[in-house]
Amino acid sequence: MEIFQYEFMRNAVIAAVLVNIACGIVGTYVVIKKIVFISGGISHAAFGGIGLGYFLGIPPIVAAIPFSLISAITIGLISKRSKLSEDAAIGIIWAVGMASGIIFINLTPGYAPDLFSYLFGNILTIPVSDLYIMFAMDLIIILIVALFFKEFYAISFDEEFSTVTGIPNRILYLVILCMVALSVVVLIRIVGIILVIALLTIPSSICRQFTYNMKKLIISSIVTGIILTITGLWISYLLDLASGATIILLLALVFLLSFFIKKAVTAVRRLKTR
Amino acid sequence: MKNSIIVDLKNIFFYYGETPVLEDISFSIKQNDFLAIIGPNGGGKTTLLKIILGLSKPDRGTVKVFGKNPEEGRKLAGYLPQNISFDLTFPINVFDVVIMGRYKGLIKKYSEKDKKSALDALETVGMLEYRNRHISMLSAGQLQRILIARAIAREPELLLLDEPMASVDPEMQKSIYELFLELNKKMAVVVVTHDIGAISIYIDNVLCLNRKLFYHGPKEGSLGKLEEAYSCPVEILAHGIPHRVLGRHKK
Repeated sequence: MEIFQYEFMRNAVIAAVLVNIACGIVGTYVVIKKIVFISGGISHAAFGGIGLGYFLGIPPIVAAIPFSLISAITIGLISKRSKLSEDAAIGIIWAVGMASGIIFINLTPGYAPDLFSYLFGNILTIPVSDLYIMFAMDLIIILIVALFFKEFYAISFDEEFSTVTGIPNRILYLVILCMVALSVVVLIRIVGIILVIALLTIPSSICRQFTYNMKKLIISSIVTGIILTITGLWISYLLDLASGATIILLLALVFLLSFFIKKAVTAVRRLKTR
Repeated sequence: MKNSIIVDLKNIFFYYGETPVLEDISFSIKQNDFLAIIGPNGGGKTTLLKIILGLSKPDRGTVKVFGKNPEEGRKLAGYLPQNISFDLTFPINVFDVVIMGRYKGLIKKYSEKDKKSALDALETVGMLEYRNRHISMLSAGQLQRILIARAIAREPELLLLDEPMASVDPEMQKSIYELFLELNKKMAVVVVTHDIGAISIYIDNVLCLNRKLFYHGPKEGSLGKLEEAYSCPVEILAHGIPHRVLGRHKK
């Protein structure tokens, strides 16, 4: 494994582990609560934050944090409170975020370096400072989920009933969306804004076929995400391809395989019970 | 305190857009009531339950549940919704569904007592042996019993049941009604149904609802009013064999 001798490779592997901790946890809620499209909206709106970062001359990823949080809360409020249909609201925020990002970059004098890496990701150019941000995000997400595990489980399962039992549904829903926003920010570096949603949802979608236990689902999603991200990175190194896109295609391929494996396992079990 | 009022509605109006769903509804539920809310489809029965639970806000009128606003008062209520509002592939087993009925507040873990109450509720509906099953592996009737268990696991003081007999087979229905009768010794029970016949031997009071409140009182007096609510003749056997409400329609 001579490739891991390079520092950028070591950073890439650490980043793969850190982002997949966030992804496995938050992605599981995204998948079971069926907020994939909302999460797509939040991730694209984050581009506005990247543009703002360029404009203000601060690290784009730092500017993206408050920007994504605000867009997450906006989407959450609009979709729950107004008569505007939820997917229309998401579509609008999605486009407004991207458009404002483009305008900010227009207004910034000179050329915007690594703009491409925010759109499509580049795990190999991650600076150590970003690793600290990822680590902090992981800690925040783990803490929130540890505190509200029972509540998140209940509102994801049956929103109406959980409201009746006294769970502050709306606020916790916004908390989930904010966690999505935080994980989007850490993911942008790895796979880029356009591909974030895949890394957020595919590991959990693979794993939920094989377990009905929530805690096992979260942990197996994290492990699956880490293995596939590092494998994808290795393949992209061998074949000299873009790392983000390679990781996504590998995830999709494994998802397809897992679907057939699940079918085969079910068929074998049926034969046994006969 | 047996006869104290626990739910009090005054002059409730509810509109869906411009369409009136409920008009000027006033009534109260007492501590030891066993009440059936009946009426045709679209008559506003489910909306009325949701107003009591604070899930829908009336456009006019006041609601008090245990003397408080519904958002506070509903914590003492057990609820069985009419439609399943969740995904059957959700990663959850029977026990975890039922224990959600025991939710008490943020951060607090489910205690041993909560776990015991959940298991007791499962035993009561005859589903204890299924406690580790995933919800997708249940029949519709079994799932309904699980949701009844979730409502009663709370040990509520008010049990609101929206069409509890949907997809439960007839033999089971009788024992579930008897269960409600038993629970009624400890709590008020409100059953929403469009089929008064099967329940008529168990209940005390009837509330006939079709946008307006047509009748609220002892079941014996409800006959004429039922016909008015349904705008067709209704047969009700007060002390007899289960019978359908939507009987002969006059041409």
